[in-house]
Parts: sequence; structure tokens; C-alpha cells
Amino acid sequence: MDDHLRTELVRFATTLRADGVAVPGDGALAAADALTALDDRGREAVRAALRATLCTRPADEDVFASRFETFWTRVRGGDATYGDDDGVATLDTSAEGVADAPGQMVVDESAVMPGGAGGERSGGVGPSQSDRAGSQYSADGASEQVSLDGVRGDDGAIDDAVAAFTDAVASLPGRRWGRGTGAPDVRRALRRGAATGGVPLPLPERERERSAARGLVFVDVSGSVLDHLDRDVLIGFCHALRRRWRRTPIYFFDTALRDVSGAFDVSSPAAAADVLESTRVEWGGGTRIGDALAGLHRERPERVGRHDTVVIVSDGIERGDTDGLREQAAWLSRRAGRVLWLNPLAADERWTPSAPGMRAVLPYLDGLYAFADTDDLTALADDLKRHGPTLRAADGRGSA
Amino acid sequence: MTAFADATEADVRAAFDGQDYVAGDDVVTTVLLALRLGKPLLVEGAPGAGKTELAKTLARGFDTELVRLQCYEGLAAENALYEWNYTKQLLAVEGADASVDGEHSVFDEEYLLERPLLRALADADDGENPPVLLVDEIDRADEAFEALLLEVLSDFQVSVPELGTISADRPPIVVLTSNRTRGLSDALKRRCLYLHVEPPSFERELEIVERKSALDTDVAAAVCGVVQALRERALRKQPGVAETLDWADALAALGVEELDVATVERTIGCLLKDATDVAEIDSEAIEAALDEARAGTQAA
Repeated sequence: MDDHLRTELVRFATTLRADGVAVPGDGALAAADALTALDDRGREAVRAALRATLCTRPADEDVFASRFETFWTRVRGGDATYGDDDGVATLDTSAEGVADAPGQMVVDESAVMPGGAGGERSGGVGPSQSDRAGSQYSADGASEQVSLDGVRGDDGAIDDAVAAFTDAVASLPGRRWGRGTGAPDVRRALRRGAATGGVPLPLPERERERSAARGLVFVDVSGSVLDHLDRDVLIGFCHALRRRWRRTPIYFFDTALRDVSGAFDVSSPAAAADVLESTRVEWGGGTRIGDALAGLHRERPERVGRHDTVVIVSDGIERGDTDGLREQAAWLSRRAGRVLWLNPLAADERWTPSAPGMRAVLPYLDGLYAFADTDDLTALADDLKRHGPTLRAADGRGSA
Repeated sequence: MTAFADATEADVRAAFDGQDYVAGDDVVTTVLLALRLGKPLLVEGAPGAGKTELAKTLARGFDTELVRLQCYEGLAAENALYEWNYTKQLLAVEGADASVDGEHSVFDEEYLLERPLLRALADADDGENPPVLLVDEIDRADEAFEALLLEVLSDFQVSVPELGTISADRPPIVVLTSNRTRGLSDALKRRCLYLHVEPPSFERELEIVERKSALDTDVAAAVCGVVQALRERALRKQPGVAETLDWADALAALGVEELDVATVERTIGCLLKDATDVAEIDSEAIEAALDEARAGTQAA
């Protein structure tokens, strides 16, 4: 394998890692072995070989596909760059014709990579850690104050979506109504019977009055969530929910739980963003959902009532102990009327609840939905109204 | 029959074609690399996408044995590696045919029950090609079992304390499948070549149905069109290729010559395996899917 190809291979692997692709530690070595084992080194064969060795998650395939175009162009001598921090390769259009010609890749089979693709281990070529694209999640990330400059959150669409969501939640039967709709109301039947001296009358049926939605909202503001959920939508969602739901506290959490309800008792989402900034609420650390819920369980358990709908906005990527998270989820499930989990990652149709935290809480949820933007919330409300709480997002189809 | 190590892309493609397994270029290349590099192949994808069939086809196509280990929660080493035949040992000791040690020990291969992993290693040197070891639905097994598998796949050898180490000169071809109900460890993924199987395109699915079922081309095209249309919907359980083939077989058995709403309604149970999905796909939705199928067929 010639130096040029080896260098480009290492650069490609390094770039994928910087983009958050889960490239195995010896991925470049395996990729080099795979290329050496190929007879046909046409574009599609090379793509398949590199995908088999450098990709280990379906979610990474889009990034791989876009970066591969640059890799292929560079390997063919074209002038393309991987870009700086936008996650999209910048291609020199003059190289496109070259990139499209199959079967021309030049590889020196007689040369063997010394000790494998060791260049990568010794530092390799390509962007350094500090050059990496901006908002990559770090499980060890510390909380920091997040800039809310430009956050308006006053888009009417989010308010409409929250109104639909509120309507759907308010119209849900409580757990004791699960199978009782249309059943005879024994108490009223006895009263009427006694009043008429026992004359048979049509049996009165139980009727349920619609009640306002009430509950608690937990918003995971860890870095991994903020990478996938628009802050504008998030602030607008919390603000609208605080106004429309009755006595509904709003908590932010990453590694600690913070009651931020007061920040949303203002006239507009933009004002709420101002309050959050002025009170220096810190966001974007790692996630300890179990610890955050345990804090509430320990200090304010009475806040969760049997009529409450608990809404948790989180990706379920838990840094803490999943057993603890499971215990707290079970407690919430026993104590609250229902628990709805809105997961920003579930908007990707390839998502499945495979994160340990998500798997731990799944048995205790009444509903699991995608929530990455306003459309997801509208779809969620529609689904909730039509089918009641479901866990269908767990089947890997993202949006409800 | 071509040896795995000498296989070419044409051999792999011929093996697949011979078994009527429709594989894209990416699948062929990845399988070829698994054969040449001797690395396990981890195949992920939705249920019914043809992951298990890939391993079966590989074994049949290269005329070698398929050793299958079906994973489940609680799968333990003794179910996967080996067990001693205690009853036989006891009878041998009681009948004085053998003793617990010495020349006629009951800890001999005669009393060993080989389970799939050990069998795949023990049989590896027998035929022209080593067996294909299918570790099916690895995501169902516990993480402890994954660690055990990791050890076996690293060295392709198993240590039986009473007997010694059993290893294979030619490691089996290992295919692991996962439905992604949980994430697998990075350590396991690192040792494998990775292949994610997506639902096929209309054209590829039509090719599969035409090869595998007795349906007319027009009906087969309508079937595939409807399936493609349904996959666009937010169903709880998306129909995989296996369901498409089940449905095609059912329609062929009923002698269906044209797909209409009533026929789809009667047979939709072959395609959708969730009551909520069946309830959601009413006659209106079926009509829409058939319209989409017709439009798609014309475009194709």
C-alpha cells in the first residue's frame, strides 16, 4: 500500500472519529487489511470495505457516506477537503469527474503497511482533538452556562403544538379509567333506583369529566440532548407548558436537578431565556438521570401525585448507575398518573432504545415519543390522542 | 468447491445466486472480506431482513456445515461450549468401566457433549471448508456471554480443564446477527466486520420475490409496491423481506391474479404482525398503498 493511500486512510479514520463516528481503535489497520484483501478496488468495493471496518453503528452511515466522497476524491488525487467544523465535506467540483470513474484506484499491493496502520496510533494525520467539530457530546462534560442569545421561542407553531399536546394529555383517561369507560355507575344507579322505589331504569353510565393537564416536567439539559434538540423549541415548549398546564413545576437536570419553574413565569419565551441567562443556570454537563430523580424522591416526593403526568425530555444516555435509575423510574411509575418520555434521538428512524439508561426505564414508561422539533410534538399529540400512550417509538421507528 | 480463503467475488456471488439469495455489491464485498480475512461478520438489521439467511446461504453455497447457536437471555457457557454427560459418567463409574481418573477416566472425549461453539472448532479441520458458525441474535444474550464469546473469537480455542485445549487450525467462518435490541460492546464490534442490512429497494425486493415465490410478475410487483408503501408508514413492526415472502406465498397459494383491496385485507395478517398495525391499515390505507404501488410500478 503506497504512502498516499495509507495517509489518506488514516486521515479518513481520524476525521470520522472527530465527527463522532464510533471507529474502532484499530479501525484504520482493519481497513488497510481489507483494502489489501480486495481484488476489485473500484469505488463501491472500497466503500463497502471501509464501511465494514470503520462503521459500527447504522447511525454513523450518513456521516460515513458524506466523508467517503471526500476520501475517494483525495485518494484519486482530487482537491477536496474534509471541511472545518460543519460536518460536511467540501468538494472541489473539478474532481467530481475523477471521483465518479470506477475501478481506477491505484494501490501498490506489494507494499505492506509497516506494523499496520500505525500512523494513527502515533498521532496520525488530520485534525487534532482541539480542532474537532463543535458540539460533540462528552459523557464527562462539565456543566457550563449556555448562551441563549437569539433564542426567541415565540414561534406560534410550538405554542400550537403544546396546545395540542395539552389537549391530548387532558383527554387521556386515568389509570383507573383504563377499562371502565361505558361501565355502569353503580352508585348513581342505586340512588335512582331508591328514588323510584325500585322501578327499572336505564343504567346510568360512568362519565368522565375532562380535566386540565397537570404534572411535572423534567428536561435533560445535558450536552448530548442539546446536540439534538433545538434550544428555541425547548424554551418555547417549557414556557407554553408552564402556562397551559396547572401547577406544573419544570426541572432542568444534567448531573443535578434544578427547579427552573420561576424562569418560565414570564410573558414570553424570550423573557424566560433572559431569566435563565441572568440566573446563570448551567447546562450541558453529563447525565445522571437517576441521581436527579432521586433528589426529588428524597426531598420533595409529594410533588408527584397520582393525577400527574410526568414528562421527561431526555435521550436516556445515563452516566450514573442504571440500577438507581431503574429504581427511580419504578417509583415515578407507581406514584404518577402516567410517565411520558420524549427522546430527541428517537426522531432518527434508526434509533432503538439500546442505551443502558433507556433500557432500564423502558418497562416503567407509559409512553415513549420522538421530540426533536415542533413537528415531532404535533405528531406526538396526534398519536397520543388517537392511540393513548404507546411505546411504539421503541420499535425503532422514531417519530410517533 | 472453492476454499473460503481462495474465494473470489465471483465465487461468493455464484454461491448466493445458486441459493437464490439476492445480495447487493456491498454484501458480497463484505462477505468476501470476512472469508479472506477470517474475521467474524456482524450483521445488524431489522427482523426479517435476511441476516440469518445470509449465514445459511453461505454454508449451503460453499457446501459446508452450518453450526447454529441461538442466543437468548440467560444463555450460559455450558449451553454454548460443552457439558459433561453426567449420566453416562455415573453409569460408567458404577459399572467399573471407567474411573474418575487414570487411563479409563470418565473425563474423556467420549463423555463430552459438544455444544455449538466447541463443535464449530472441533469440526473446523474436517472438511474442505470449515463450518459456518451462526451466532444468531447475539443481542438477546447477556453481556457476560458476550465476554465469553469474545474470548472464543479471539483465539478460536476452548480450554477444557480435564482434557486440555481444543483449537482449530482453520477457524470457522463466524456470522453474528443482531436485531439491535441492545448495543453490543465495542470490544466485540472491534473484532468483527460490520454489515448493516437495510430493507431492500423496490427493484431488489421484486427480484427476491420473483426468485422465491410462484407469483406472476405483475402481482409480485404490486406486492412489493404495497410493502414499500407500508414501510413508509409509522408502523410498530415494519414488514421485513421474510414477511413479504410469506405474503407472496400466501397469495400464490390462493391463486391471486390481481391484487385488490379485499384480497389485501384478507391476507394482511401475513404481512403485519402487530394488532395495532393491522387495525391502523384500513381499507382506505390499503387503497392508498395500492395506488402508490401502481404509481411506483409504472415509474419503475
